Amino acid sequence: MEFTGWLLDVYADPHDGVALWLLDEHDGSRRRLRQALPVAFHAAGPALRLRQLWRYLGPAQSAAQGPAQQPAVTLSRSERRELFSDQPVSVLTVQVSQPAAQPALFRRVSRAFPDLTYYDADLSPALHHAARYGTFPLARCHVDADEQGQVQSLEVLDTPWDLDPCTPPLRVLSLEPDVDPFHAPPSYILARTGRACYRLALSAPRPLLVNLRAILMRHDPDLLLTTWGDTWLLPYLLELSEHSGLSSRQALRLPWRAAQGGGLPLNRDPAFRPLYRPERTYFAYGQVIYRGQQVHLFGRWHVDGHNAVLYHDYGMEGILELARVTSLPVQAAARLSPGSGISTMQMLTALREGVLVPWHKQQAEQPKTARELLRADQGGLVYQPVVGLHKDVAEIDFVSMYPSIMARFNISPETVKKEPHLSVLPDSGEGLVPKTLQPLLDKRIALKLRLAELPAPGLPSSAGWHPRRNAYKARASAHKWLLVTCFGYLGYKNARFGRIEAHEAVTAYGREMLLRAKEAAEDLGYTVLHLYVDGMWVQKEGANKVVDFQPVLDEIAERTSLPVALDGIYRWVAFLPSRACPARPAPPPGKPFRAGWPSPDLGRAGLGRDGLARGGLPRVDARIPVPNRYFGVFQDGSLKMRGIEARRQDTPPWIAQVQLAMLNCLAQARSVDELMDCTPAIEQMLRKACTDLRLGRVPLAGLLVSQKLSRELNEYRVPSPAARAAAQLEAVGKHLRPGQRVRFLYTLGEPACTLASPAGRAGVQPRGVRAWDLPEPPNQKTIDWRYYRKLLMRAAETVLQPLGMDISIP
Amino acid sequence: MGRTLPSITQVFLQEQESFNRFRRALRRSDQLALDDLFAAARQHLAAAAYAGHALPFEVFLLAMLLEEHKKVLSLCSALEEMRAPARPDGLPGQPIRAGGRLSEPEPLT
Repeated sequence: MEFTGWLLDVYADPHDGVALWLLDEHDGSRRRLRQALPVAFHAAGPALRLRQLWRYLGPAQSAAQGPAQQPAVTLSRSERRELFSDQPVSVLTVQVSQPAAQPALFRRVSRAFPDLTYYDADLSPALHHAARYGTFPLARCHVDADEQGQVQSLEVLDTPWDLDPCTPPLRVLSLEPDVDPFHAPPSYILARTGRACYRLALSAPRPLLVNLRAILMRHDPDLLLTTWGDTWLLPYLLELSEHSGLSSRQALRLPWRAAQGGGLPLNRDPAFRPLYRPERTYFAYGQVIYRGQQVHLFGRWHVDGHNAVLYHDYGMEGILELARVTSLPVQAAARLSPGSGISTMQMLTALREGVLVPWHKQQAEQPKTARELLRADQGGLVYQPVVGLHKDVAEIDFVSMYPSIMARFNISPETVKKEPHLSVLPDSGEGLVPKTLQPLLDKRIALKLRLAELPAPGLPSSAGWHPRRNAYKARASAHKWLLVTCFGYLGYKNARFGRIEAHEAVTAYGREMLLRAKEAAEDLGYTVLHLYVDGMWVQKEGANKVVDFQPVLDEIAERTSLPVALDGIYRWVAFLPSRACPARPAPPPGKPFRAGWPSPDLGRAGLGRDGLARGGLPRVDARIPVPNRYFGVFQDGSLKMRGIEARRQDTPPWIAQVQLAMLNCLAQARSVDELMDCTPAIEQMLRKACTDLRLGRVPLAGLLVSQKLSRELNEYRVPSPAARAAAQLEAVGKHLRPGQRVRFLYTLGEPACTLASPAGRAGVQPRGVRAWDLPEPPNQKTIDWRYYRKLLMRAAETVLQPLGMDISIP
Repeated sequence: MGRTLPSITQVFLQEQESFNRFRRALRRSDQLALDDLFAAARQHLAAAAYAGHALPFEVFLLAMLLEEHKKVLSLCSALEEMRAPARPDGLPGQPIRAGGRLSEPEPLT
């Protein structure tokens, strides 16, 4: 049979090559096909050891072990290109006809020959398939297969770089419990398809399973979109179906039941059970990150919106785009960080170019002198802005600065010199990293142009609406995250194609280009208010239209040869001063606020020795600017804010809401003069908010503070409020891992805390907290509304201070 | 950056801390003036980082001096202005208002 359709998934078939799932474009059927895909890994090392490996895997050996133990292996010797060495490397290539057998074989080999260097050893069958046939998730393919479902030929008809790819009509089933299972036991599940919505009670397991099975079989979804599906729902359903009283009579009638060990056809592929991946906590970009357990399905996708990375940012559209451009399977693309996506793209480029992909990277940093280190070990330039309120300010940004630098100046691990001078090795061809990034950069710019061509979203009625706008936005956002992380992966010591010198070269170029931009603006008579890694805020008397800033854009593009764009012109923007100490209601766990250097305001503002204002709140030090704390209103009336309470994740939502309302009120002002007229309205808002708070009219959910745990509970020397709330949960059997968020309320009186607290011994009364996810609902009367009022006033102060209004925090 | 070598902000705070004993022995009014100097140096952390100087405190001293000189220049021009008509509000590079009390707000409850 021959047909055209979309490729949904590729994974190793246990018996024969790889399994392919395709959606037939003509009749809409979902087909499972098989295709032969021999995969290979390579070993390099001393000739003697390679000969021993040859004998170890050779025909005599496999004959002795019998065909049952040994997959069909083909051995060959060749010279291959290795990125980190100038000369080709002589390798022994071990090719296996069954991708499913490769991991076990490689484990055996690497254990027997730990001294050899291995390449291409841990690449997924999907990646091998992508390298060989140019496939990617949702690729439109023309397939010729025989009657047994064995693929004879496969041709990909589109590329990941198409702006408007022909998308398949996917069937989606969404499953969602009525309440966060961690907060309270859910009572029913909502199952939604495009046409129908079912409410399945959890109290009766048997009807639940029977109905869910019927829904799954009738709709046969391609995508199971769940909330808490990884961490609770699917494990719960699978457990239930395994132990439920679904009779064995039914099992006999339903052949997949035996294979799945349960009565629920969550997998489409009967040969597999759902795959569990354990939860994990890791450290990245200065943060502890927690990822819950994962449940992967075969033959259809499972995406848990709650456990997917950046789902809130780009949604399913972004995940599918990520899968298309990175070639990662959809379920992996949803759960892996964009960094892994970039890494996969680089490996794919390497496979296609015949470059070896190291299994464990051996490359170490080159020695440097102290002077070289001082010059090289720097990041982007971060200035301190001119604090205060400014009008008619243009924000000019480099477009994807670091990736553009890599592509424009050919920065790649194999092309940089030892010292990060502003040049690369002269005779190097296009590097692996630029080659990987260029199409992605081109697509991002094309998408942005496409977005700019759409009618403006601010237009009245339906004139500004466009069916593709949100899709384009989500996809542009997915690209943004890929491009943001690709820089970090150049310097990450475990990245396959990372090299610190390349990373340093990128930042060196970044600093140079930002300074050139600054010089260009100053030469043309503009005043530079702020510079931040890849952005610049400039002002010039009388300049307030796009054309007024065009000369500076042209001049920067001329001097840097990088793409640069006008982000917008602010009617006004306020750069905010710092707080005397980190803007947190309590010291970070185990670490006091920077002691030893008392706040400059000590004595003037009645601050304690630790720099905290009375009542535990930090005060503003107007003299010290902060690079990334500002808010402003563009000429189209849209707000931009960074680093203020409304943007912080640990701000109670109600306080963020009040602050946002204040800012929206300011955004109404057409000019700086009108701005001052807004202050009475804002004062009114603040007064009303205070009254609401005092009279208990604020819903408790609005007062929730959500903070991340940075370590295990027993590792806290001084338990933070978050740790104390987590201890309360621990006491009722709910365990939280580092990197998970704990939600709690500030309460009056003694905290119900079981941790021995040095703060308590020191006579400092820790603030009362109450975890939100405890079984009994919290009492409105115990809320520490005075403390919430302080948080509120602080948020108001942030907004009002640049207008010259000073509010006294009682 | 920030691992192999301390970041410029870390260096700055270390330098500042190394003067703790000196600061403590100063009179309160002098302490406040000293704090002003350090706050001034802090304005130029980006330039200090870019300089990559082996002795960063020299750069901080120069940054303090720079801000002092700016103050002298602005005082000079203010003096000039007292003899000439006032400048319009909101010149580029100068905040329209940089904090301070606009009007006495009513006490909030």
